Amino acid sequence: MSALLEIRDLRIELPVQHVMQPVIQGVTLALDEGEAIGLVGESGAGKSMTSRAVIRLLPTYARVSGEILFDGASVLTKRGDALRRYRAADVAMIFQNPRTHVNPVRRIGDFMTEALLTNGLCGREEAAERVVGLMQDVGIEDAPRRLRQYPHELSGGLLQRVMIAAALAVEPRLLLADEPSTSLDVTTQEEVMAILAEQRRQRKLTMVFVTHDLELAAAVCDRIAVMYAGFLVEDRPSATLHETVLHPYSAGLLASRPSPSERAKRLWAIPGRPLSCYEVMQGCPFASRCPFVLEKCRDEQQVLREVDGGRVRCWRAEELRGRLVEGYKRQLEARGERGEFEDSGEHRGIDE
Amino acid sequence: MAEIDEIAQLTGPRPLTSTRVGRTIRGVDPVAAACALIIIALTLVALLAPLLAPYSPYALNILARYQGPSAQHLLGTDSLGRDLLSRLIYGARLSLLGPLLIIILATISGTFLAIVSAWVGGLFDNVVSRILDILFAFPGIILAMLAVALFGPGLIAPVIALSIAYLPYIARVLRSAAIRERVLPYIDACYAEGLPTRTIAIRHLLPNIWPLVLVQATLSFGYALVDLAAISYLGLGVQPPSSAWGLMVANGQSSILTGHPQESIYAALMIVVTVVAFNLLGDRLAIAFASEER
Amino acid sequence: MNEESMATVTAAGQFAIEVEGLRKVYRVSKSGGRGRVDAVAVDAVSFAVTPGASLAIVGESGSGKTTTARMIMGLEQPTAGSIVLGGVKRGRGRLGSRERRRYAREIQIVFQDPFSSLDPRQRVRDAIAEVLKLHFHQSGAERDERVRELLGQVGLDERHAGALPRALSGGQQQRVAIARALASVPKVLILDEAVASLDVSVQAQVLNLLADIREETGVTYLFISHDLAVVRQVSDDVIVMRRGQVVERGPTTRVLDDPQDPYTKALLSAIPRRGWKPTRHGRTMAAD
Repeated sequence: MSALLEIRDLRIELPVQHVMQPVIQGVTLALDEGEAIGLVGESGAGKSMTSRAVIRLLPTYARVSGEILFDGASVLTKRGDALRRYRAADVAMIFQNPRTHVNPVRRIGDFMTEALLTNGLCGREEAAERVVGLMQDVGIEDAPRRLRQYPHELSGGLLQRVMIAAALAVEPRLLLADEPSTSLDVTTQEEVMAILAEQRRQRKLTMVFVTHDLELAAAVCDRIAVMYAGFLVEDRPSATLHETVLHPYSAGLLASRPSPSERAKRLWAIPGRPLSCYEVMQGCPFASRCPFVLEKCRDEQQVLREVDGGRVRCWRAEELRGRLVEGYKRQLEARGERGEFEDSGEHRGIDE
Repeated sequence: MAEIDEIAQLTGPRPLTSTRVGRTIRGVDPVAAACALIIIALTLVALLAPLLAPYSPYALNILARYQGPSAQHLLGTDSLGRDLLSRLIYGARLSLLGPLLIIILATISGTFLAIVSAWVGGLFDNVVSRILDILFAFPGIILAMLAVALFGPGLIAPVIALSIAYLPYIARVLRSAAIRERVLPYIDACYAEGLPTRTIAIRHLLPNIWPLVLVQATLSFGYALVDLAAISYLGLGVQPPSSAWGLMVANGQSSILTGHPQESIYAALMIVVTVVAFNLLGDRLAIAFASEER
Repeated sequence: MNEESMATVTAAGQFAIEVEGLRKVYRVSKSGGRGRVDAVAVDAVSFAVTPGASLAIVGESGSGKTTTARMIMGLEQPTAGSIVLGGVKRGRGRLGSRERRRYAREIQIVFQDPFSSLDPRQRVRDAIAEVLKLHFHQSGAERDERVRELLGQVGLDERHAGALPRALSGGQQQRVAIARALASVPKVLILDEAVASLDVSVQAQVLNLLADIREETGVTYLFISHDLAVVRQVSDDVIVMRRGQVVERGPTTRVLDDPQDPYTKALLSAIPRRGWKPTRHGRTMAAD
């Protein structure tokens, strides 16, 4: 099965204080039809940028290089009609805050049928029927009444369901979801994510799910791609994520999160703070925070390699199997009081 | 729970490179810089008038009336033989001083009223807002004419009247800014620290909205200048033989038909250049401050 | 609703915070424009916290947890009920400057969004010095030393002291907010979703820091959060709020291991974790 979406060596530059700087580098991944991948990372990771690049929603002053292929055709060079058709029928995006992405002075019904009507995909009655059907699919009661309402009359959770229905209305082949549940309550989040997962499976949609919540991504996606400082650092199946995680950063993310079922004596925190791509001078982007850093990490930039059924950007991956959490523990103990706030400068790994 | 905007996180405030504004050179807006230079030049001219003007603005010479540009009179002379260049230079003093006084008065009172009103809220705020609404209804010039009718022509009456007329424009903008800013967590934090209300308003709130004050003041300066020039034109402001630009436009009016439009044109040109400089600068400042925002 | 006494009175006989029948009602215009209606944000909330303990108030949006915290802090006035801090009852109505200054020595607050909780035009050391100047008689040198001490307590140093908030990362800004809150040496610290806006790795650092500070200074925490995992990590006791009312309360371990109220159970089951899959419960959505 050939890949529906292929991203090759994607690099994006944005002006930071009037100078063009890279915010994403060397991102390469492929998605088969029907597959769902979670793009996970913290601030500055570039995960949102990557998904926006796929739908060509980057600011005009961004500089993009590399390749994005959708069904074999290049996305970055599309123009005019071809671009409109791509955005209208092939790919759809769901945003984090529905309220800022919906026109507040138009009714829900207008908004939902708009894409269908303007692209001539079907007539007015059929569009309305389709939309009502979709709204019922996503669990919106009394759909016909909702169509006549305005966005401000709906709660955040309800509006997000409307957004999902609207995205599905054009029957896209690829769905991009950018932090769709982050601004929702946790119970609403579960509901919305369940709907999304169900609809995706039913329609065999391909999905890119951007989030900062690793566990959430693992629950709804087939694969997890972890990004840090604009680099893709790990890519592996979510089913075995917890057992086979290889990159120190991914392991750190997993370990940083507290658990509702037990209190940790101390959270094994990754020291320092998440960096942006242009703050990483050379070598491994995670070198300044990694418990296992060695000289070679700082000098040479690493490539994504196939290891243990997934890809990882770390030359010590095999060596570090099973040692990852232990490494964070030891580092935290070694650093002493307030040591976890250390900024890059004097960082030393436990093996150095 | 809070919205995450990755682009803003990565790049910080949006750079001033939108097509509407034009390019910046190393972060400095060339148009704004040019306007600022013009304004500085005008201020210097006004301050150093006695040193710069070749003649006294009152020096009559009937024999030399209506002369064109020459070595002795760079811009020529007016209907009474007075040197136009000198009159323009000295005119800068009056034409810039008036608006300056207006802006200072309007800004101080407007800011004070706005902040107190936004802070206290309730009935006080309501009453103040209604008073401002009433003031909005009066065109500045009418108010100034009224003041002159009551207190006689000159600089003082129109200036005070126009200050009152401009007050609501400044107060309105600042009041909404103050209301917006006041509910931000850092103001709550000041409360929680136990800071007295006056300190919070002056040391924390005001510094964060003063860029708006500056923008409003700069923009209003141009309008105030035009209004005051109109007052002078009507003969209600400073009286002849002083050479406020508005007055010069009026004086030179009768000469236009006889083929000597210089006086009116030069004076009008000075007004236009000054007003445009202030307006453009105010506009650019507004953009610069907006793009600096969080 | 489960009645459980959860805080024992200390030998001295005084709670750090004691809240009784707290109630907050807002008058809002009805949608449609006809008349005004009462919206009850907080309804009959009572609890007590022992000095040095850590109580979490958990709930989703609209639960009233933040309003409760703001009333205790004095940023909002209760419609009814009483608040007693360290044995002293808080007065009704807006507090005057002198009263506020006194309360600032009793209780402080750290807000959710670190950046907007700092004056963007004030340097870090000035923000902290301002608090010291207000509450303590110190020489300039003593004050500088104390600023350094407070910053050190949260893991910041000279470089950060001279910086403006926008030059700092979210985690650093929040630590400045914590240092500033500790400057007046309060007995109680309210943390209103204080780690919710932070990256996961930074969140872990700040949670560790808060635990350290409590151990070192004996300060009492009132931790407002929607995140049960964070609550487990940081609190001894917990109150669950829904639509302005307390639906469950008790020691954190008991409430999270063995929840009694269906709402608490729903909250717990909605947390993404290893082996979890989101399921539709067909719940009715909150007021649309």
